[in-house]
This record gives sequence, structure tokens and C-alpha cells, in this order.
Amino acid sequence: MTIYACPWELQLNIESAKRIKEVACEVGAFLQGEFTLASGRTSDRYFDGKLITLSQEGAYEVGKVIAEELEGTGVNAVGGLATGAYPIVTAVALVARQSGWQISTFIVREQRKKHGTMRKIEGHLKEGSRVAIVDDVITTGGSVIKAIKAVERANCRVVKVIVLVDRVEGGSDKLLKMGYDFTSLMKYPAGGEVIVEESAAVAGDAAGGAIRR
Amino acid sequence: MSRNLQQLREMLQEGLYVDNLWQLASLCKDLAMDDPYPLPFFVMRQVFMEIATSWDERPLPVDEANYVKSKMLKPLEDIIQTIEVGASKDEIFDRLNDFVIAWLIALP
Repeated sequence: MTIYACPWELQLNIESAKRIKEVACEVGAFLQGEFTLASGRTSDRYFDGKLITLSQEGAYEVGKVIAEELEGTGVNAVGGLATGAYPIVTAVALVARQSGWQISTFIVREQRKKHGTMRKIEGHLKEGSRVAIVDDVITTGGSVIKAIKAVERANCRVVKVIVLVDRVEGGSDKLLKMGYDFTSLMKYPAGGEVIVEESAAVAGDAAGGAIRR
Repeated sequence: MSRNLQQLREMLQEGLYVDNLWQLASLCKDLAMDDPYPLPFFVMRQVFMEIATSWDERPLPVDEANYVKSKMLKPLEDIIQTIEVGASKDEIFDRLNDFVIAWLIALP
């Protein structure tokens, strides 16, 4: 377990996180076997996040837990890399709207559009926004870092990164070392046991890091 | 051209997986732009993109990936070899045909 100096702690809505895990199990989002990942690496497990985020209850719970996590952080835009972030961003926007909280949403394309507008970022992202990046899963961190870079190139500040599942293969550590405030709802490490995070993994600008329990 | 063909060969040696397939497709586009006979690169690009799209964002069993790899790598190497030695268009066309057949067999 990695311990960092902690300027503050964040508390997740554990009940929602636990319910998301239950939904994940119900819809078969956690798979075990031998899989080839997009990076070419092989893995003994696979997390199919869209089975949760494209289910009615899963989408609602994910939207709720992330919106609650973001409230009060000063975040005014939420987005992530296509396609994992699409349903998450939409769910957060709907839940936030129900609470009377205005938040802009956007999607970062994997590759810049090669015709028409040639845009890399679709949706609503104003320069200077305080942004939360969301994704369904983090492995080595490649997708999340792509989204972060695109957002920072658009002159916005990434103040929070939230993923549903951390596969504990270096991505979250990379983000923490880069100084990003990172939270995962669940961990799905080698061996296949899914763990609901009891508090957020946090890294802040202050004190050079945070605590991870 | 030969430098790019070497790059293509090296990338193929890394294996067939989603991230690499997109890069292979991108390299094939460059090769097609540079070559007076772009057809082989265009066909390879389409096939790489097709496989990448079919594998992306889903649980891909290692056995399935290995099966496709086992069917595709040799015909790909044969095309590169044929282009490299400056073989006739007919010969390149034949190798291209073998490659497309291999792809049709390999994909479910």
C-alpha cells in the first residue's frame, strides 16, 4: 500500500460505489481469462465498463457518485476520452442538472477529426475551465493522459481524475506522481478480486501528494 | 521507401494488437501516398483498420488474437518481400490476393 503525505481526504459515497460493484457483477463486467489488451499486453482479467455505464441503474449510480465527488471542488467541466467516457459524462451531467448544478461536458477524440471541423475536443469546454477527467478504467494510464493533455492544450486545468476501475497496473501511480488528484471507485488487481475503495486516492498540489488508503 | 518498408516490417514484428494496428494503418497511408503503385498499401491499411475496429473496446481472448496473427503475418511478410524485390505487378497482385484470403479466413 502506497502512503503519500496528505493535505486532505475525500470521502466517496461508499454505498453508491458498492452498488456499482454489485451492478458490475450482475451485468458481467468483470471477466477473467486470457485477454490481449489494446496495448498488446496480455491480462488475466478484463473490465467491460460500458456494461455498467450503459445500464440504467449503473449509469445513474455512476453519475451520482461522481457528481457528489465533484461538488464543491470548483470543477465546472467534465469530460474524457472517447468512447469510455461518453456515458459517464452524460450521466454526471444529468445528475448534476437534477441537483441544480451547472457543469459543462465534452469528449476528447482518440484522434483528431480529419474532416469538417478537425476538432479534437467535442462538446462544451471553455478556455480556463476547471476540469474533471473521467473514464471507465485505468490500466497504464495512456487514455487518461491523452485526455489530460488535450484539455491542458486547450488552456484548461485538470483538477480531478475519476475512474470506475483501477486495474492497478501503474496508471494510477503515474497520475499521482504527476500530481493529479486521482480517485477510483474500485480496484481490480491481478488475482481478480474486486475491491471497493473506501476513500479516494488523492494527490494535490499541496504537500507534494496525498494519502491513498 | 525501403526505410518505410523496414519500419513496416519492424512494426509487424511487434505483433498485431489494437494500438499497433492503428499505427500500421497510418504508416500504410504514408506509404500509399509516397508510392506510384499505392494499391498494396491501401489494401493493407484497410485490413489493419478492419481488424483494429473489430478488436477495439471488447474483451479479446488471447487465442483469438493469436489465431489471426498466425494467419496474417506470413502473407503480410510475403507482400513486403515482393514489393522490396521489385516484383511484377501480377506477382504483387497474387500476394495481395493471398493476404485478403488469409484475412477472410482469419476473421470470424
